[in-house]
Amino acid sequence: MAWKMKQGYELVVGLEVHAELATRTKIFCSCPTTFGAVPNTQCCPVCLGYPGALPVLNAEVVHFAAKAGLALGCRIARFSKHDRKNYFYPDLPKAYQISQFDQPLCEGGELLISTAAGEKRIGITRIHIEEDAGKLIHDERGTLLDMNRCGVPLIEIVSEPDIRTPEEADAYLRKLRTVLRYTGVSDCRMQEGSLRCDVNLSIRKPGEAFGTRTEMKNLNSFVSVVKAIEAEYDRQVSAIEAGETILQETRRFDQRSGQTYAMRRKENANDYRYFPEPDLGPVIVTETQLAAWQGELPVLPDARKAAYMAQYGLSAYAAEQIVSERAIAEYFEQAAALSHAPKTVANLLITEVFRLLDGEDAVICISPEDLARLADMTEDGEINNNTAKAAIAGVWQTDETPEDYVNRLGLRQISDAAVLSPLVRQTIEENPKMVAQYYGGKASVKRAIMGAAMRLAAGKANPDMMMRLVDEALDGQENK
Amino acid sequence: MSETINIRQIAALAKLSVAPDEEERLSREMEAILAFGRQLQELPLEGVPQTQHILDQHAVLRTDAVQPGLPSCAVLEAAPARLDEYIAVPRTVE
Amino acid sequence: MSITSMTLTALCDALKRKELTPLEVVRSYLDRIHQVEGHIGAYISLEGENALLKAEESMDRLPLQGIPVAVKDNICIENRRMTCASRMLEHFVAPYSATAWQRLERAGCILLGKTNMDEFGMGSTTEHSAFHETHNPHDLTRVPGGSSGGSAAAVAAGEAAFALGSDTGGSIRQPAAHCGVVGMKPTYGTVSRYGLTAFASSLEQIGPITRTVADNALALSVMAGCDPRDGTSVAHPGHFSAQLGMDVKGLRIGLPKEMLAGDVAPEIRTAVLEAAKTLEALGAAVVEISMPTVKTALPAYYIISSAEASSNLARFDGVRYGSRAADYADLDEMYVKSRTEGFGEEVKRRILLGTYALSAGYYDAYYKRALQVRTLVIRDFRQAFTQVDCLLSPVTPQTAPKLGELADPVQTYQGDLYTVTANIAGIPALSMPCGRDEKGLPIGLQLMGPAFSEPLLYRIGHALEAALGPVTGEVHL
Repeated sequence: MAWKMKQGYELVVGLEVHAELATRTKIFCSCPTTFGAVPNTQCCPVCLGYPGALPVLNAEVVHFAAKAGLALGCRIARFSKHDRKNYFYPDLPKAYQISQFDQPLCEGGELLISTAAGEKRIGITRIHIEEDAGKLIHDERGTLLDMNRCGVPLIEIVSEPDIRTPEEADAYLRKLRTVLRYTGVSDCRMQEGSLRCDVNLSIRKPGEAFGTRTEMKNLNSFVSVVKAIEAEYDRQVSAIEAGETILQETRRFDQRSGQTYAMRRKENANDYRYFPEPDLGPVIVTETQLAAWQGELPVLPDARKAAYMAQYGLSAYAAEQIVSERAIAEYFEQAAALSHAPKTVANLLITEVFRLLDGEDAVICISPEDLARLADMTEDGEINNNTAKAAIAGVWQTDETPEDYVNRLGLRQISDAAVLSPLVRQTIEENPKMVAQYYGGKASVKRAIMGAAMRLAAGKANPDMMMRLVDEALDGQENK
Repeated sequence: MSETINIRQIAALAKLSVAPDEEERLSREMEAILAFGRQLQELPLEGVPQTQHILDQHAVLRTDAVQPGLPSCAVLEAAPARLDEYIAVPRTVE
Repeated sequence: MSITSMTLTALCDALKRKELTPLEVVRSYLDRIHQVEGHIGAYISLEGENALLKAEESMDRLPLQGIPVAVKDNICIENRRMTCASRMLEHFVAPYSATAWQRLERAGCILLGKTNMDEFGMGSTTEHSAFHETHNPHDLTRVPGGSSGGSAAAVAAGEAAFALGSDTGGSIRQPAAHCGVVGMKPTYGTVSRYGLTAFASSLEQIGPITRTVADNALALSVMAGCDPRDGTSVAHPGHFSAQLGMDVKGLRIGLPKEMLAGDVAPEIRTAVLEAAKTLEALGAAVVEISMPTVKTALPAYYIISSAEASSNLARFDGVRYGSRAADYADLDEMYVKSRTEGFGEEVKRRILLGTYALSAGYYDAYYKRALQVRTLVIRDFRQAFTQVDCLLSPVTPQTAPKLGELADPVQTYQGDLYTVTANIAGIPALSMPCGRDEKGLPIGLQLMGPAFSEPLLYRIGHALEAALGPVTGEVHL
C-alpha cells in the first residue's frame, strides 16, 4: 500500500548532505584519497592525529567547494575560517573535527526540483568544508578502525527546511547529485560513501510554528531516505495524536523493520565547544579566482534542459532524462548536431542506449555519429524504429557502422509502394474472413490485416507506408 | 553572575573521572582559578574585536599532490590493540 | 677550559678549525653526563653510545657540525621515545621528526637525549613530570624552573652545548632565569611547530637555551624558517646575529611600571634596575612606561591556553597510540580510564578549566573575552613600541624555590605575570642572567621587542652581557 501523508499534518524536512570532494589528496595532509585501498595504508601523522602534527589546507578543496557553491547559486565568502568541533569517537583521531562553524565558505543558494506536482525551489542555507572521519567496521571480533578515509575533504550542504514530501526529498537528492557530478567536484556515489544524507524532520499543523525536529543520520541510499522520512513522519504523527511530545534527538532508521529508533541518549548530549582553529589561517577567495572558477562551470542541467526543449522540441521528460548525467548530455548534443532528427536521437538514446548502459560510469559504446545516422535513417524511413534499436545493440562495442550493419542483415526498410502493394493485395486475397469482418464493421481488424501484411514483408516494410497502403486497399476498395 | 561548577559534567565532557574525595578539592581550585579568570568580565570590552590569530595570518595553502605518509606497519605497531590490518577498539554502540 | 664549558660559538669555531673533532666533543659531553646526571636528572632518555656513532659519521663543513644538543621531550625525533613527561606517552615512539630538529640535524647537530619537563608543558618547576624531578645545578635542593627545566639544567650543568625548549607562557625564559642561562621565545611563527606536541597552539614556540646571547642567535638562526607543514609559520625577515657587537647608543629602553610595581622579590627588582643603569651607562635611554593591560594578560592567558590545551590533549585517548587502560567494560570506560590514569593532576586541572571555558553558556564570558583582551594587549605593546625600542622587565617574581614547596595553583599562576604577555602578543622575548641573589641563585631579566626584532634584542643582550661580565656563579657538581 502506498504511503500517504496524514490530513492536517504538514511534513517539514531539511536535508544535510555530505559529499566527498574528488581531490587527489586529503584536506589537511598529502595522503591519497583513493577509495578501496588496503586499510591503514593511506595515513600520516597529520590525519592520524599524532602529537605535533599540524593541518595545512589543500588549495584544490577551496576550488572544488567554491565551484559547488557557484553551481548551486550561493554567495561565496571572500573570507571564511575554520573551527574545531570537539567530541570523542574512535574514528575521530584528534577528538575534534576541523570544520566551519559561523563563517562558512558558501551561503544562500537554491536548487530547482521537479516532481509530479510540478517545479519547486529548495533553498540552500550554506555549504562548508570539513574533514571526514575514519571508518569503523563491526564484526564478531569487535570494532575495527581503518583510518584511510580520515581527512578526506567533505562539503556539507545544508538545505532550508523547504521539503514537504518524501518525493521532494528524493528529487532534491537526485538533482543535487546531478549538479555536483556536472561540476566534477564529487562523484557522489552513495554506495561508496562519497554522498551521505542526514534528515532533519518535524511536523506541524498548517499555520503553526515549526515543531521539534529529530535527526536521522547515515542513511545510505535515496530509497532509505524516503522510507525513513515516511516512517518518522508516521511516528511523530502518532505520537502527537497520542498526546506525547516529540523529543529532540538523533534516531536511527532500521531498513528491515522500516522503523526509526532513538539512539542512546548519551550521543545526544554533546556540547561541541566550537572555537576558531588556531592552527589554520583564514580561507581567502579572491575576485580573480571566483571569476575563473565561474568560467570553469559547464552549462548546468536546468539550462541544458531548457535549451533542448526550445531548440529541439524535446519533451520535458526526455530532456530531463538526458541531462541527468553531463556525459550523456554532451553526447546527446554531439549526436543531435549531426542529425536532422534530434527528437529521434533523443528517443533512441533514452530507450535503447540507456538500456545497454551498465552501471553509473558506463561508457556509451556507439559513437555520436553513428547514433545520428541511425536517427536520420529512421526519420527518412530507411529503417523502422525496431531496426534502429536492434542496430544500436548490434554495433555496440564493435567497429561496424550502422550502414554496414543494416546492409549486412538486409534490414533496410521497404518503402517502395510498387513492392508493397502486391503484398497488401496478396494479404487481402489470403484473408477473406478478416476482410469480411472489417467490412462488417469491426474496425480493429485492420490492425490484424496490417500485421499479416507486415509478416508477408518479413517485417521489413515501412509501417507507415504499409498502413497507408492497407488503408487505401481496404477503404479504397470499398469505395470502388 | 553566580556559577556553580558541575565538576562531574565537565569531567564527563573531557572523558576524565574525578574521585569523590577529589571532587571537593578540585571544585575549590577551579573556583579560585575561575574567580581569577572572572577579572575578564569586569573589563570594558564593548566594541573590541577578538584576535584569533596574531601576526596577521595570511592564507597558507598546499598543492593537491600526493606525498608519502606512514607505512601501515608503523601505524599498527603504535596501536594499543590491533586485529589484522585494523586498529581494534572497544565496541561502539550505533 | 674543559670542552663542556665552552660556548657554542667557541665550540663551532674549534670544530671548524679542526682543533677538536666531533668524537672528542661528544665524548666529553657523555663523560660530563655520566659525571653529573645522577645529581641533576635533566634527561628522560639518553642516546649514549649512539651519539658517538653519529659523531663518527659527522660530515664536514656544516654550520653546527658535531655540536651535541639536548631536546625537550615534547619535540618529536624519529624513532625516539617522546613521553612529554607523561604516563600517557610513556612508551610512545615518534614516527617522524619535528622540522626544527631536522634543521639542526642537517646542520650537523648530534642528539644527546630528551630532557625532562613538566607534563605536557604545564607547570613551572618540572616537578609535574610523571617520572622524576630535575634539580637546579646551582642548588640541588631547588627546582630548575619549568616547563623546560631539564633543558635549562642541562645547559647550566654542562650536559649539552645547547638545548631546545618550548615556551607557551614562559617555559623557556623562566627556567633559563632560574638556571642562569640564556633563553629566547622567538616571535610567533619564527620556528616551525610541526613536531612540537601542542599545548596552546596560538601561544607557543620552540626556542634555544644557551650559555650566551651570541650562542642563542646562532642556534636560532639554524632552527628558524618558514615551514610548509606549519600553516602558522612565517619567513622571519631578520638575520639574528646581524646586530651583535653593535653598541646601544641612542636606543630607548622602556621599564613597564606595572610590572615593576608587582609582587617581585627586592633582590630581583634591584638587579633589573641595576641592569637598566648599565644600559644607560652604555648610551641607551631608559624610561618608565605604562602598560595598563599587562595585568589582564594573565587571566586571558590562562583561559586561552587552557581552552586550547583541553582540545589539543583530547587526541590522547588510548585509541591509536599511547597508553590504553588495561581493562574496561566499554568504549567510554576505556576513554575515561586511559585518560584519568595517563594524565597527572596539573594536566587534568588545565583540561577541566579549558573544557569549562569553552562549554555552552560560558564561551562568551571567558574565551571570547580573553580573545578581546588579547587585542588590547597587542595594541598596548604596539603603542609602547612607538615610544621605545624594547622593554626591560623581570622574568620571575622570585628566584628558584625549593623542591617540594607546594604552592596553590592560583599563586603559582601569578608567577607567570612577566612572561605570558609576550606569548599573548606573539612578540619575541629574551631571558638572560643579570645577577645573583644572596643565596647565590641566578636572577634573570627579560628583553621584549616588537615582532621580528630578535636581532635588536640580541644586540642589546650581547652588549649587556659584555658589560655585566660573569654574573652567574660557577656550577659546583
